[in-house]
Amino acid sequence: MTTSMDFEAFVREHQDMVYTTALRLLGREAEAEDMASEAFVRAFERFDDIKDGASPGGWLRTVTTNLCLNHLQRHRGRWRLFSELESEDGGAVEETFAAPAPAQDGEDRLALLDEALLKLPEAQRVPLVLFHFEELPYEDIARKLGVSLGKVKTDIHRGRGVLRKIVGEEDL
Amino acid sequence: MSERDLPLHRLLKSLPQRKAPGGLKLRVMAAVAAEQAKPWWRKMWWTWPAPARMVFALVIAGLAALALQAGLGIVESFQPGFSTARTMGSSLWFLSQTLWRLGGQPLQALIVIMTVSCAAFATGLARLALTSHA
Repeated sequence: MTTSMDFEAFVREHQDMVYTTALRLLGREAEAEDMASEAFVRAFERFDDIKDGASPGGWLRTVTTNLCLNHLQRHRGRWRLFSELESEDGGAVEETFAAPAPAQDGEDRLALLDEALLKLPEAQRVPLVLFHFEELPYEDIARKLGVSLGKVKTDIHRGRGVLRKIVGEEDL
Repeated sequence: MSERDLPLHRLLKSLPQRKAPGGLKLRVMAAVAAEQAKPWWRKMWWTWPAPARMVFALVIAGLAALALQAGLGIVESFQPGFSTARTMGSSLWFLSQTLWRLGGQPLQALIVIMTVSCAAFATGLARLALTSHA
């Protein structure tokens, strides 16, 4: 029997992970909060099954990722069309950030990278997040997004290039 | 991943998690309370009481059998070769009733019925293909 306190503890334990996952995929705080809330409601429906499972956090992360991808596809048209309409070079993102100071400390660089990631064009950010954070292979990313393997690789490559320039580590 | 991408990958993986908004937990608990307040038939199917799920599964199976019979009846009026499949389709209704009387697991009953439906339809199509080529 699910108790409210058990589930509250579960939410407290995983809310940062769920919110971060959603924010990195969606790029917008309000939408990320919506998806995070929806993910936890789904978790509640199956809480008796997942709470004692091997990896309730992993289950939650997968559900959050899938909800975010469905949201992107539903509300922004077909992924393919959306990414074709958007600028693909991330040039606007680079202009938003001032040239990094040469002696940037680690924390500043991470903060800059975090902000830059959220500002990447969606066509680059989503596959990049799925690859580097969710550690999905290129083929799975292409299938989930309904685009070609070549497009996934190109978009991720461009996203990486933009992030490297922004953190001032073009040798990265 | 290539060697060149590893440094950026490590940097990305070292990014800290963002703090969830303060109101998220309250919002989730409110949504959960609203979900719990719904009558059972408005919740997800797998949360229904077992007898309700059983009845629902059998109703769906019965409707599938009726739909198959109706479909085969229409096709048979044009293609006599479907008579075997129609007979099998009629058996589905009897099968679902038998399983209900035996008190079998509804999901297993549904799986069996759907599998037999597909087999019956495939048999009818195969017969049609063979007879039309004869």
